[in-house]
Amino acid sequence: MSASLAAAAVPARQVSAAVELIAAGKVFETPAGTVPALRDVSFTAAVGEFVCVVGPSGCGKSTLLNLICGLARPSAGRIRIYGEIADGVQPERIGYVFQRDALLPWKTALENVMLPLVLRGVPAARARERATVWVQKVGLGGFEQHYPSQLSGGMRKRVALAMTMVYRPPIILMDEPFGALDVQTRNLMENELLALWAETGSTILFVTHDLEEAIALGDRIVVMTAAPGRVKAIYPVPLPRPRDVTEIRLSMEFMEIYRRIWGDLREEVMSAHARA
Amino acid sequence: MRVPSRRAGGVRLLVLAVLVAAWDVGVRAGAIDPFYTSAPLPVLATAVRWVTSGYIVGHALATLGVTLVGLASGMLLGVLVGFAVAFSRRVERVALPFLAAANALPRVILYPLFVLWLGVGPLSRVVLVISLVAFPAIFNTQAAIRSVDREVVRNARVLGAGGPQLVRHIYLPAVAVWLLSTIRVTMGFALAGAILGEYVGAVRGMGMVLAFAQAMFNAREVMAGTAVLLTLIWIVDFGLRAVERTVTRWRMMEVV
Repeated sequence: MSASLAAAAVPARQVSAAVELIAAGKVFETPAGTVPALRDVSFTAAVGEFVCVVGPSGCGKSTLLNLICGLARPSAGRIRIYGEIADGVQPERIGYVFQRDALLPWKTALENVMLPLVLRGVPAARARERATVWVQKVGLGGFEQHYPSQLSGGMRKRVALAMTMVYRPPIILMDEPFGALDVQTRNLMENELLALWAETGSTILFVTHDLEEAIALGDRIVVMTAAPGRVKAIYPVPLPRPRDVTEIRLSMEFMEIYRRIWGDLREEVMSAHARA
Repeated sequence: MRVPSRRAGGVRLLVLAVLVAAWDVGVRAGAIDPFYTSAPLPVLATAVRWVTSGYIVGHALATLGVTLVGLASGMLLGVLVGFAVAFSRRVERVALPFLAAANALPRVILYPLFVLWLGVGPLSRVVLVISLVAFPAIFNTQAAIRSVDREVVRNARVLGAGGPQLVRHIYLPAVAVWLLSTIRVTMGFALAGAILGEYVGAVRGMGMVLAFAQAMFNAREVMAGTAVLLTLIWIVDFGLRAVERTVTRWRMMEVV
């Protein structure tokens, strides 16, 4: 099932870009007038690549993910998924781990993880089996029957992660998924995410305002400007894999990359601050 | 805690016993005129006789039937209208003033009309109960749908849920929780509607038993009817509490 899902989602002809943004822009109509959120954003994420998007708060990072997954439409430019112009949400291709909790409060952890499979018509017994595997993979074995309200923030994030991973979308969008977690839990989750990514070979677009996190995780880093968000620069992260996010932060190469990117990012953070 | 402890239950029984004993003693001492209140033992004897002879069973079932059928149809209707109002701005704009006006109207005054249209059979009372139950159901459904976290809906859409699946996995559970956590109140409306209808005009039902006894100035039978009714309500309420507990399990966990 999972193999056929992924195969169906990726077109037969070979495309190297999983996600491609071409001069994408978004303006919001408000009673006070039009507010530009994104302007002329262009970059690509290759198949299997881990791309991090960093930028100051309010630079339109979440809007960017909403455009890519099809929850919102771009006001300008185009977005291609595997070379095709996207139209509407694409559950078979794109998974999305939200910033805020988005679990169904009346379903148990296991039932939440089962949901995407149930929605795809997978028989209940089979869905339960596969969901159980993923609940255990994200380290929540024994908490299957707990409701979200009974789980800690970190555990709920794990459920959200399993909920996305269980149906193996070839592209996964993540919106500051670990922002609300304490440092230890966060590092643990980051390492687990890297392991899952290596195992599944998905393309990941990871939005964060934390540059350290972006460098520790990503193959490439897209730095955004303050609102309206534009691409300021794109940096490769030539650090070896597999990585341990806690240890890699101590390496000389990490510091060097950090210094270089921070120079760019600082200006934007300052300018975002000045406006706020 | 919602579940009464053993001790609170004991105290309740004690309060009941004291009240009944005071009633009995008051009548025996001549302080209370039994013409107006009868006395505990004759009332109990009457109730027991009614039950054992089967006389009251038909009436109780008639009342219960009208109540439950009306409650179920009223809630169903309320949920359907509630969904329409919640999901269509146009329907909401057109329907809301009518709904508010109809809700403000004391439905009881419509009962003679219902009887005129539908006769004195149970149907007119079922309609009365529906008219009482549907409005809170509509407003609760609307509120429940509005209260659903938008992020949860977006998440479900991204995970692959289409319209009917959103209704099934997101909106219906949300609505069910609201309706079932208010079902004891709604049940009260339904029962009041059924009994009131029977009281005003019917050939069967607990309300009719009470009305008949009252017309005969028979305090004993009024009291016995009330006692039977209370027992009935108590049994139904016990069942509903169990339903409520099961359905809102995920929510109660927060408190524990």
